[in-house]
Amino acid sequence: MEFSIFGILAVVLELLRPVLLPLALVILADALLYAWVIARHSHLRIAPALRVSAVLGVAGGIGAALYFPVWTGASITQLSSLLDYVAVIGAGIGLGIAFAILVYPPVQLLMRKPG
Amino acid sequence: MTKDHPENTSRRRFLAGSAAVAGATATGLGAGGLMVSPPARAVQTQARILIAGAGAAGLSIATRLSRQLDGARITLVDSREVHLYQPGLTLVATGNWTPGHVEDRNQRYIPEGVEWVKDDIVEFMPDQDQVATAGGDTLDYDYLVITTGLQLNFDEIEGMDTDLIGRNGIGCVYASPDHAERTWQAASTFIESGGVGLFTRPPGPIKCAGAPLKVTMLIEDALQDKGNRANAELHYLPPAEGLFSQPDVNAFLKDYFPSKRDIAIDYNHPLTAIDAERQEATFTTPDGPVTRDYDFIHVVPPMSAPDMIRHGELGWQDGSFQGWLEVDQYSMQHRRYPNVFGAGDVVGTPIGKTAASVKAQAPVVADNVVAAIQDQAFPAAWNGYTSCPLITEKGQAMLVEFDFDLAMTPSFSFIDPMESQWAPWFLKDRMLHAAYNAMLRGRV
Repeated sequence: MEFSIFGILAVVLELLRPVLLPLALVILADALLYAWVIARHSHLRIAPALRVSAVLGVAGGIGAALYFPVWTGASITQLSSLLDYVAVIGAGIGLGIAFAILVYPPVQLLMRKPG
Repeated sequence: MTKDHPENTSRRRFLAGSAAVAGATATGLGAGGLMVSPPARAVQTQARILIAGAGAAGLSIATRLSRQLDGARITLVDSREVHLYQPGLTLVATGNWTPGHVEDRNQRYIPEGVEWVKDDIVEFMPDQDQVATAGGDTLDYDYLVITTGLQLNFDEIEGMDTDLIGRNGIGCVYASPDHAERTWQAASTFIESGGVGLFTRPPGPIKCAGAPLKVTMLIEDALQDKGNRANAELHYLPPAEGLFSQPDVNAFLKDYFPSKRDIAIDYNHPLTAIDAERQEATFTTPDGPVTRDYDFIHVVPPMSAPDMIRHGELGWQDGSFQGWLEVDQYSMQHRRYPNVFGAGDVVGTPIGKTAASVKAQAPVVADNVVAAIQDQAFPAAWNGYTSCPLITEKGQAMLVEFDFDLAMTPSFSFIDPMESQWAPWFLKDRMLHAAYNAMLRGRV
């Protein structure tokens, strides 16, 4: 098998093309929040916020894994092979991590030190 | 110009790339280390290249040639403004997608610098290096790439007309998105009421030869979901003794249809006539004509190259591919006119009227046209790679890939092509359209 990273990115771009603008706006907003978090890090409770984000990421990942077959019009009972389960679990892990990264800045800003 | 037999190089594979993308996307992992060489520098030329047809093959090749050549005059001739994602028609005809899902615009994919003539070619004149158009123009070329697709010959079935699709229990997945939607309306009535369902397949090569099988299995699956399977009698009627060109899949289906899905296989039953009002279909069998009543029938028309090729100079004049474009199956160069190349459904080759085949053919044609312009040996060859995500039910499919040898060529050793799984269904339902669009843009 032979394929290029450029080709992979091209297909991902095509897949995301309909939602590319809103996705870019969300990422931009998140990046700005990250910048704010970094600037105010001395006023923040880092560890609790990381824990909450991780929990949300795990929950989001499990939800995504359960929803992934349904998204394709299939049901969870139609997962039949090791490959099917690896794909769904992999998707759950990937989306869970992405969700945790996404929610960390707002969670962190909500958990500022009092005063 | 040379016609040396080219080296049979490994081509990037449509589904392989799609599956890799699916994996990379789903897991959020990148694929570092999989870089391939950047494209070569553009070749300077003033060659006039005419591409006949703006389907999947025409657009993909136009995009590649526009990148690989500098100064060439590339002209794409096709009057159609709507681009159809034909691999999705099966899903429209079985109620899984809407027609809008498969409709796009050619304009989005025509690269800058390529002239688009919105007209249709009506005659090829290869001895004069010219084509005539429906609009009355004559266009000259130095190199011609024929990607017209094929034509559906509904008129070879007595009593059949596309206007009948969606009425009197008649369905057809191939005609258009509108007809596919009407097919689902007719199929839905059958799924509600039950009765006799006939699923036909014509003699000769057809595009997406898995589609008649997929429609059969998806409608059987819908009957089960509806709880109405016991009230339906299903027959699959191939024109000869085979169901699928790949032998392993053929053997599997011959057992699977009757034993696992209760679908009778009536061999040697090419459909020759249909009486829509009486809901009767006539088949010409070795024992003579047989007429069957039906409540739903999936009609697959005989297919051929467009008449201007079928009855013109450029088609095979005899042999098994008579009437289809006469190209060398490896280089895709015409066997008698060395400045003519072909790709897609129109070519007369042993297998491969699929989008996956186009994915493998497009870079071969582009590379070999560029080599021909430079009077160099052909660097690329098509190995016959084709693929069919053979849907067995809504939510599961088998990822079947093979080549001219008819041997399975799985892109991933861990995907068993003989196992019905959700992952190939995911590819078909969610990833292949994106990969197809990337192919049109010459990115994969």
